Amino acid sequence: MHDEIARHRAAEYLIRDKEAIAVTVTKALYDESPELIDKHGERGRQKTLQDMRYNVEHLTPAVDLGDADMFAKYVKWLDDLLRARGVDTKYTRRCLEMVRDEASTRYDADVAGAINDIVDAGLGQVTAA
Amino acid sequence: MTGAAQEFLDALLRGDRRVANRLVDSALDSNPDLRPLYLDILQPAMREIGRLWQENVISVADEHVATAITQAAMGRAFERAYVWHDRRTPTLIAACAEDERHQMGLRMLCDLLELEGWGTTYLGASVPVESLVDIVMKRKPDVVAVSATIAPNLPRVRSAIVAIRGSGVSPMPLIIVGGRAVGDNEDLAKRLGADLTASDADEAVRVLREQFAER
Repeated sequence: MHDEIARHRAAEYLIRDKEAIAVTVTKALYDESPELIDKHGERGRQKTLQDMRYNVEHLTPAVDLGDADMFAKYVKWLDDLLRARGVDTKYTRRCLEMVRDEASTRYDADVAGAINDIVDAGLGQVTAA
Repeated sequence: MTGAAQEFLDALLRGDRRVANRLVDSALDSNPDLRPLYLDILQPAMREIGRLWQENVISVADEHVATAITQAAMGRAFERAYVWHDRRTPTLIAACAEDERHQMGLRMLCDLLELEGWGTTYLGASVPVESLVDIVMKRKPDVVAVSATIAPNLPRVRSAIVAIRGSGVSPMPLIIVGGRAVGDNEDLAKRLGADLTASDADEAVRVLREQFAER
């Protein structure tokens, strides 16, 4: 568990960088998986962008409070919701992996570690055992 | 879910407020206590509505119809169950955190406390921090209840509590937090700056009753 100072700093960065992270991850996902445009169209891309903003919004308090379970529950809920709308779990997993990469690229090791402890708990919900 | 909850849910899904109200009436005919109606019929039915939206079975519009019918049914049930009290203490102000729109649990809490003789002020969904502080300063309640259903609103719960504690209101009210994002996680409640927490309206009533029985 990362210390409280790193967690608070990480939460502040996530609030500040929410839009940039959402845009970057959405673009990376669609570059990697062009079939998403064929299947869900431009509206799907806009929904993904909005979902990415929500993902960061849900990630932030979990990071701030160091509450991995809070984020894990959200990811489970999100995956159920998206699967009911025809979005395969693999895309949810890739989004979280990309958030993980973004955090490692953008931030110092303490902050990235505080974020990725929590992201990993979410990934656990969408990764086959 | 009980049979009565399932019948109520079916009425919500059909958008049939007459049947919904008739079910409320017959529940109160057989048991005049509001608590089982709220917690064993209306709340499970509304939770299922939320799940059906998540499962893409119903739309946001369907969910809003269900919410409106249930809120109206609560109004009807409350007026039937209420008996006049001379006493209107202790007092409580209840607000959802800014941006939080899930308000039914908080309203249940207020209704149940009113039946016990409390004086409650229900502010409902998404209350801006400054206005919450204003009304707390004006009314000086014994308790402030702040609710959040989704986790992104937890920082807003904390901001509201920080603002109340920094407002200089005297005496300082007890602060209780609840809603799905908090559950009855006492550790989280403490970190949000609250004094108390409860997992649902019924438990909140018990927790508050205990607090004020001691005084």
